[in-house]
Amino acid sequence: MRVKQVLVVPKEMNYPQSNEDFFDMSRNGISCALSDGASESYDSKTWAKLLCQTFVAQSRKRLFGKFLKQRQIKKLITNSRLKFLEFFSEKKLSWSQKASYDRGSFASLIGVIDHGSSIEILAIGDTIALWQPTGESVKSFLLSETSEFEKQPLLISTIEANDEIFFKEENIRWSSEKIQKKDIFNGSIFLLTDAIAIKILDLIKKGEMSFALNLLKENHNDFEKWILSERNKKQIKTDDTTVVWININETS
Amino acid sequence: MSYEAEISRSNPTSFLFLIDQSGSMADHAGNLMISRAQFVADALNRVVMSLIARSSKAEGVRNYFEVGVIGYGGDKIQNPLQGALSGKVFNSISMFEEFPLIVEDRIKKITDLSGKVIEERIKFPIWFIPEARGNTPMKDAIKVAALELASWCDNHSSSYPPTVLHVTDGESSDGDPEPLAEQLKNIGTDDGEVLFFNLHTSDESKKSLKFPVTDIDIPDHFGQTLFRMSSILPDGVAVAAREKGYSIANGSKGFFYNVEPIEVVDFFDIGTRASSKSLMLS
Repeated sequence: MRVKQVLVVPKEMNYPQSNEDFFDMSRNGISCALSDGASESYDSKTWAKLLCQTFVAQSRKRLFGKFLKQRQIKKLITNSRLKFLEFFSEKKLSWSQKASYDRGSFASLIGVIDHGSSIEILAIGDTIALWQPTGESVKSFLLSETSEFEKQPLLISTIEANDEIFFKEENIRWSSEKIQKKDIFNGSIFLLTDAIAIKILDLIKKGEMSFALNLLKENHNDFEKWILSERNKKQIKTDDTTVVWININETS
Repeated sequence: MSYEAEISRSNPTSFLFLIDQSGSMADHAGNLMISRAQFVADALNRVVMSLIARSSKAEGVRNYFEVGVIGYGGDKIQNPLQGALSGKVFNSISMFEEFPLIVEDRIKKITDLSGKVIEERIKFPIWFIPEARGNTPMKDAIKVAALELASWCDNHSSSYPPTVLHVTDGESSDGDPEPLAEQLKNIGTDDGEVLFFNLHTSDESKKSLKFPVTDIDIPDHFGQTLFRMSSILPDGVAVAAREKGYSIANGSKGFFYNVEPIEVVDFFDIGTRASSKSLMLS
């Protein structure tokens, strides 16, 4: 896989360093991941980064069958959590930081693994993958209807106690899927965080598929201008916005 | 009037706690061994801590919220906070984080993953100390609050509007507060008018009401007045109330009638979730 372009527009334009989305790709192009850190978290920026890095580091190519079984997901979350715990020494936290830390940090995740003739996608929460099966149609995973984004998304937490709810939701609010590369038109796949995902799916539903897909391929300046204009018109949620454009047939 | 403005450091929102500190607040809170005033103070300190926790990041506290307190009782209507927070009514949430009066060590009982109840030592910061004296100058207190809110809204015209959380255990002693409450609710930002939520606490055996739609079940004139003074819940607050298990209908008002002091905790928690939709969780 090769990254063609990454577009990022932070939620608070005055504080670009506070952007809580993170994207990572392995050097060999076998795997990549995008994570959207939740605002009400102690440090979702670090949590999103660790989830992506761990996903990329532990992903393995499989010629047959799926790699992303529940055992692998558990390992991904456990290993990310251990790194998060290592990163913060609780003893150094002030009372207010401890109170915030104890509430947890949360993030969604979308990860892609290149298995050769197929790719495998893991989707947790409301960050999606979007591609064209043919030149005339669009598919997305896991969420595909704008109404599905209205529910509180299932997020990965730094707090172990939340796992009981999380793992019960497999194939309902998080899932993985294997797709043949021949079923992806032009080899292009886009990873989108929720605000832009809702907008793009809405445009497609309104019959503006070409316009929507062209937006995802815009240069950064034009894309940022469009996002800010939509925000002013209240036509898109003001949120950290990331679009990753990947070609699965090219090598990095 | 939409109540949809996004809450950010550039456009913070505010919460004003309007607290009855009249003599009757010194009475015991239900079967508990502490006064109503102490219970309200604990709930207020807890909700401020919660707002700080929601705003705290690894790099520090983000000023999403400004918080103010106006206490009224006897001949005093005042900002009851002390030290650095006493100079003006509204202070940023980072000022609260920086200047608690004291940080106490308290024991909290929690259930671990195996279901065993364990005790954990936690830090409990105190900003607000209970007081109770004299009569109930509610009307004048609402007037003072309205002046503060008008000034705040003038300086934050793009912000999600302020939320006033009023706790009282009795009837106004300085006249009908309703006309001033109506004036207060006419103050606002470009995103909506000030939200005025009221809680009436008492030990009386009358029926309790939470988030009512009509005043049909409220037996006394004073309760009916507080009902009319209360704002209808906007969507964000209604969602928070439903998540807490309350039954919310179209037109439900931010009003608790004849509830035990322990209900103040939920009242404050839901009232300060006014922002939950606007803060956006992801």
